[in-house]
Amino acid sequence: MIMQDPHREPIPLSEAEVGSCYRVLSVNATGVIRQRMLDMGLVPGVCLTVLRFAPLGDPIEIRINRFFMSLRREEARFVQVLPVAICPRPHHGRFRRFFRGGFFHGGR
Amino acid sequence: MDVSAVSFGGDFFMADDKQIFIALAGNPNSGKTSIFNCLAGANQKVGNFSGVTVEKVEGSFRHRGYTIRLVDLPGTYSLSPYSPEEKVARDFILFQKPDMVVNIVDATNLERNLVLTTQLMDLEVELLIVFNMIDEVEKQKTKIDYRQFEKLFGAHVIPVSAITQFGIRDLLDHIVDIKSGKIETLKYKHQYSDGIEEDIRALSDAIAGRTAWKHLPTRWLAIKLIEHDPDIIAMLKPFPCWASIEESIGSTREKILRFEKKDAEVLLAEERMAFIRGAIKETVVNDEEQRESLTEKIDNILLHRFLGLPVFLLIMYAIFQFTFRLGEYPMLWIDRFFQLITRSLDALIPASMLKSILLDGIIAGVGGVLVFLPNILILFFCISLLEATGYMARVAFVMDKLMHRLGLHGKSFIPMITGFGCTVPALMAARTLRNRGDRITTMMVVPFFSCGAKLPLYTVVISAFFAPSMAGNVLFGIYIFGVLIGLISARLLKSTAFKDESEPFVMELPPYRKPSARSMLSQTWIRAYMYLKKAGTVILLASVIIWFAGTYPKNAELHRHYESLRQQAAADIVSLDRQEKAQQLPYSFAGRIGKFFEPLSRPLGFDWRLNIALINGLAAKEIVVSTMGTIYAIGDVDSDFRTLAESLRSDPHYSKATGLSFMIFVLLYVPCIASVAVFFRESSSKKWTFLFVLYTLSVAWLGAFAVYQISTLLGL
Repeated sequence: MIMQDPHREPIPLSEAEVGSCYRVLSVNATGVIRQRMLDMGLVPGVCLTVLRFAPLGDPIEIRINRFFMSLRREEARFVQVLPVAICPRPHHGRFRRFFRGGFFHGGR
Repeated sequence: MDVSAVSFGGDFFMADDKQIFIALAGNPNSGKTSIFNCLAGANQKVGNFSGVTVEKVEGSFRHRGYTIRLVDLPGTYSLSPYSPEEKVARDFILFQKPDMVVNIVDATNLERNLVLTTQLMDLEVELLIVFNMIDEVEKQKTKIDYRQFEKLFGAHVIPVSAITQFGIRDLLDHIVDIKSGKIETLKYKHQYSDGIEEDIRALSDAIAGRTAWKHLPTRWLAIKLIEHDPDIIAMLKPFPCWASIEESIGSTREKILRFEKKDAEVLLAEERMAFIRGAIKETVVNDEEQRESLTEKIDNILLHRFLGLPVFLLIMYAIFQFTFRLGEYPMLWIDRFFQLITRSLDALIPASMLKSILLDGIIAGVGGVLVFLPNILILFFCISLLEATGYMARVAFVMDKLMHRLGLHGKSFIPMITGFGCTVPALMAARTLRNRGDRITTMMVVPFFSCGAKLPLYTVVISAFFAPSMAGNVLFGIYIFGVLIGLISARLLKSTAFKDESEPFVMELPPYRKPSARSMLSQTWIRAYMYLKKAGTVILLASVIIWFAGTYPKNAELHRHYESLRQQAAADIVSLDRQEKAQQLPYSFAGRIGKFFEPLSRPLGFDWRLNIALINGLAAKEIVVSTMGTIYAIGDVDSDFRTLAESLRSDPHYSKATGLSFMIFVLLYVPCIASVAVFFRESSSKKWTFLFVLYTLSVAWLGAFAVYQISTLLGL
């Protein structure tokens, strides 16, 4: 199991770990970018899972409920998140983490 | 079903009360277009929303004695004006005042889709909610309590599946019943928390009755002002009563910030989301544990850290090959078809000016455009396929880092790669970019990705001046040179003209879907039709002009001389014709223009003959080689390149340096008249179209100058 200390410090989404779950604390971007994030459901209080970084390492893909969304690190910096222990998808366990990034990424 | 399609004539509509005007609104990827196709069938009219290059699709049909006019609004996540599409959708609802807004909701992803629904509720319009993809919901064993949902949202909900056609009839009945008053809708407003509601009410009172804003829903205006919507503020600012309102907006926002410790727009978004989540909790039961969806499984491979890039390159390569290899055959047929027409007309019509216009001008020119149609059809079919399946968003995701380094967006990659095939569809593919700066920049650099029509010229020139063992490397070098110039130009434009206009990369990676054949074919056709219509008319005009410039004024003396020669030696009339053409050329307008530009082209190593080839190349790049063929009086070059190559090699004026410089110029300068026309249509800016021409010409001149001077110094 991914056991994260629920009292850990909030971090920006850009530094989040692949495969882990987070709760959105605040969206500090300005102007239209923030409106865009809010409109797409990246609202304080929602739970998200970090799915992956793009092959070249930049945009990051997250899942909010059943919605897949991607944003660049530079935009993700403005989103403060708190690691949460309970992941809505329970089988994201150690096994997956072990193989993450390897060729068996997609396997069970 | 009484859904008979009708033509779109304006005079068709019956009495006003029997007509229903409907706007379809919904998120991108909510299946809005499929529903539109279900309702309107083949009766669609495609145009643009006034003043913007946002596609507007309209349809019209009859149901139970009513004429229903349907407008498909662009897919939007919300009604805040983030992109032109969203602004168009919002303005349409606000100012065109449809009788009813039908909100298409992806029922498998309610949480995000309902954000738009709550915003539509704020607009206080007649709202009908459609839960699409209900078949998938049932497969997931999810149960939705529609009654309860209707109570919460104050609007009727129709479960529908565009794929199985389930519920379409029910939807139509509802539309008619609501219009005829058989069903009364609740028309709830979306309630915010008490404090906010109080603020909204106070601001509404302040706004109410201002004649200038009377046509806008007051409550919605108040909400938008509290959210500090820049668009609405800009709209209201010019009015004298703004000053009094501005103050109360400021104090309201300040109060919210003080008590809630967050900005008003965040608070309102949070409240909407809280309402949506509450509603879902109350109405949706999902027994099954959420499993990893198919989309995630596919993405685990397609977006894999190591496999992602190779798979992506493979897909791009496949499309490229598919487009140009498969396209070759129909292109050949079209080419042959036009040759046949030319030949049969040649025999049929006696020599006259009209014949010359028809054969050398119109058929040659229009044929030159139609030849690209197979390429364009296949390429756009592939692009529609990428879009419909959902892979297009992944392309942007995979390429964004690289593109972002250049100041561009991941989506710019598609037009650039398309540019290697043909610039015209590439410019059209730039449409998928929302940000104007990104779009224009991408369009400006697309010509530097050497298009297929330039290849014959490279082949001729390379075989004239370079050893066969060098040919591949030189060709590759030319292509790479173009790419480099393109990338540098993008960087340059993004750091000067469009400095602050960078689109943030916040986008959905939509679930993978099986594309529907019908909508893909119709999309491909629509694009092809636009290409034919717009580019065709311009090319027609241009080819007549080029024909005229190359033919007139006639050198009467020369003509008489050849006429007498022809009568003497009847044996080789064809070669005499060619010789006359070649000698007539310097006398014609084109020849004079070519000579006129010699001072400008001499530093690049071009004489007047190459200048004519370049000028004719403005119509289409294939013409460069055929013009050179005419100039060097060797006739039909297409059948035998080597003869042209040989005459180039043996010409004392030309050297390797000339060849290189000429190829670089052709690589970089304005692709063709059609591309300029399409650029204008896509950018709808005279200024940028002018800059497009100017920039490519100056870059071509500078590039060719540098190459010629350097290679002359090196003694090539």
